[in-house]
Amino acid sequence: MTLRLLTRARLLAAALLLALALAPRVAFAVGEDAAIREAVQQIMTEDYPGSLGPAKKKLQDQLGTCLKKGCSPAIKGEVYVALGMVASQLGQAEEAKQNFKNALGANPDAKLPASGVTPAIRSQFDEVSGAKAGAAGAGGDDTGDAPPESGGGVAATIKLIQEALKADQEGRLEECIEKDKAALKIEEMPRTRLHLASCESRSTKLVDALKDAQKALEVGIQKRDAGVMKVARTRVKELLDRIPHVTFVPPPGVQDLSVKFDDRPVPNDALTKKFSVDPGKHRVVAEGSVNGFPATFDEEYDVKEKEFLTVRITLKPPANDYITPGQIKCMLAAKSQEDVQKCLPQNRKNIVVRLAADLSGYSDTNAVAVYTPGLNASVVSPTAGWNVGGNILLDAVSAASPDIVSTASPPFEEFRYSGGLTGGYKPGLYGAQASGSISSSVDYVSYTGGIRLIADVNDKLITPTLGYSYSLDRIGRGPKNFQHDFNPLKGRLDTHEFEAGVTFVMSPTTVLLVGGTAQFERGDQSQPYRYIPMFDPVTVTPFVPNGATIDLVNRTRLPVRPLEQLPTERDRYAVGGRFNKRMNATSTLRLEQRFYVDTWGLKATSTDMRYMVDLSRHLRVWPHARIHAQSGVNFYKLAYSASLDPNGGIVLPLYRTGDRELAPLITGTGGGGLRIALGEPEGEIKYGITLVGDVMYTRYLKSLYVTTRTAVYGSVGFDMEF
Amino acid sequence: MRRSHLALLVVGPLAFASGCVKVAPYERGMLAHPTMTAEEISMGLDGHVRAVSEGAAGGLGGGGGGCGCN
Repeated sequence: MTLRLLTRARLLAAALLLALALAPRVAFAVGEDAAIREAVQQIMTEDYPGSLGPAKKKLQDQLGTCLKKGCSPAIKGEVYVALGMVASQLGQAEEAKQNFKNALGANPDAKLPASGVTPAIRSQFDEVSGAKAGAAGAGGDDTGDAPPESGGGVAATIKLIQEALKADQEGRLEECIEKDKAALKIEEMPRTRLHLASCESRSTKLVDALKDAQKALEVGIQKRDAGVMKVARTRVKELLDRIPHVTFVPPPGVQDLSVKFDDRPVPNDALTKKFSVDPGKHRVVAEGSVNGFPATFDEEYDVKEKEFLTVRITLKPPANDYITPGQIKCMLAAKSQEDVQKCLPQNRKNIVVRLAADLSGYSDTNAVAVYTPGLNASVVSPTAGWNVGGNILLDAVSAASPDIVSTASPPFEEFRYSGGLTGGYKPGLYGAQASGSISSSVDYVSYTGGIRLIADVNDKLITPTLGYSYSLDRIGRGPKNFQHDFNPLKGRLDTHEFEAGVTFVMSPTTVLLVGGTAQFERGDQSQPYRYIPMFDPVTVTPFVPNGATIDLVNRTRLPVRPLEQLPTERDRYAVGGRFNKRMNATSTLRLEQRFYVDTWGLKATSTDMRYMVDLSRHLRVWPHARIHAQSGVNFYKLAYSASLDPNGGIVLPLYRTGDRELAPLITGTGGGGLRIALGEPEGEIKYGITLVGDVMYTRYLKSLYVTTRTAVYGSVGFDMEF
Repeated sequence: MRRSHLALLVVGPLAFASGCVKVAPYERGMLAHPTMTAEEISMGLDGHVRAVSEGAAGGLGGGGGGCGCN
């Protein structure tokens, strides 16, 4: 009995000791299993698949703990499965398969998890486990990453993913991005997209990385992939924190503002919003008009991560020939015109001298040719407000016009000399300009003098002018043979002219001049060489055709040859406007219009246009067009009639003329010009060459001998200013 | 000249004046361009040819002296 009791007690004690010996180990293994399992799960949700390197290291550490301290086969299997998945993602297929083999060796029931399984992982696991292709298992069909049932698509996707991973490992981030994008084109896989976001993030393409991480999160939510969701959320949060932002402060009052950010247009209504941008260098270009100036803004910024950049757009007009950026800045702060004037360089010249020479030529189908060399000089003091100037020219005239031939006069040549002086003084808002000129040829001398008053009012936005001039013309027949020597009424013309005008600054780019003149001519200005053919009023006059030839006229005219006789009084009125508009900062449109009437019955309209374009700082070109139409004077006739009175005398028309410029006509002119600035426009001495040319076609609606005239004329000029 | 025409010549510019936009001094840079001058800009024989080939004269800046060229 006692022996039996003793044996039983020994057995109980041994069992107790064994239990005691085993209990801690079992308790320890259970605790370790839980910790390792938790660690593996954490690694596979946080580091997989975005940070495969760290994931592998951590899993290997867990495996080491498991082997050293002991863990259950199931847990060991889980660790090996996780290592196999990481190795597969790293493109280490053989290592992956070995890990899967180890997993199955530790736990024959080991299987792939429900999520995070790529086709390559499944393929490698199945190869090791001998599972049939397409079998559904615990690993499941991860729809988030399941490839289409196309062998080629799967293979291509796997290959691309492997290449992307390899590129990532080797630091070729651009290639990583390219391969991942190509894989995503075949199949949308959130883990691949997360990997793409990772590569983009490390290559500072934060905006793209954020978009891809958000897309991966969206897909993860759709597929209820907790692992993806967790990683994607973390990635999105991190990127949101890193991404820099830009906003714009547009300049006020600029209606035509256009802004570009790295050559991409930014809508005006979105300028004040916050834009996400990648860190790095960026360029902002803006254009618009500031009070009529075309202005620009061009700046480069180096944006850092997390930075919030505010771009204040300040449009500045570019420097040009006439205004520098410094002057513009000064003028922007100016409160009055005087302040603006002070913005000009302090060392500006007190005296400006301008010299010019030109040679002009004219030729027409009436065999008139004129060559005119001329000189012009002026001295101006911008600071003191005075100016003086002078000009001389010579007209060398050769003419064999139909009028001369028709009257059997030989063609003639003559020279006309002309010169003038001008001077003015305008120290402030008010000033005066005086001028005088003389024109002299062998049978015609003209003296002219005048004065003009000028004022600047309304802050120089309005400039009215008033002027008066007097001319005395003496008309003769040859040297010192003035007609008034034998007839006080003939050969002397007194002209009084009054002019008034106002210039308006309509806008920063528009000027309008409106004005008028009133001329009062007294004296007999009939030409002493112009004989007027007379015709029988009944048998010839009504039948004389327009443009009747010299022969026809000579055959049908009466034998009387009276001289031209014009009225001795003529009042002439004209009103006109000149409109100048600066367009696009490189061209100017100049339009002129004039209406004219006089007491001789002549009415006329003239329209002129120039469009001057600055092709560069040195070259300006312009087309020119003009049209003029007029009625004839009320005493002008195509064919004048003379008759015999009962006493045998000849009754002539009181007024008679052969001057075609008093006839009804229409003239069209077309041409153009160019100016070349030699040297620098801002240089100390400025040079320029100007060429102009025009063709003028006149249609006489009522005229003997000729009904049209075509003229060509032009000039070449050289000027310098210092 | 009729009184109505004269009145228009005087009143017209005043009407323009009242409708002008206020242009600040620093906005007048464009107006300094040589092509924007309100004066006659033609050169060479242009003005002289017009004076002798057209029966009209004056308008903006006056007609000047004669030469007996026509």
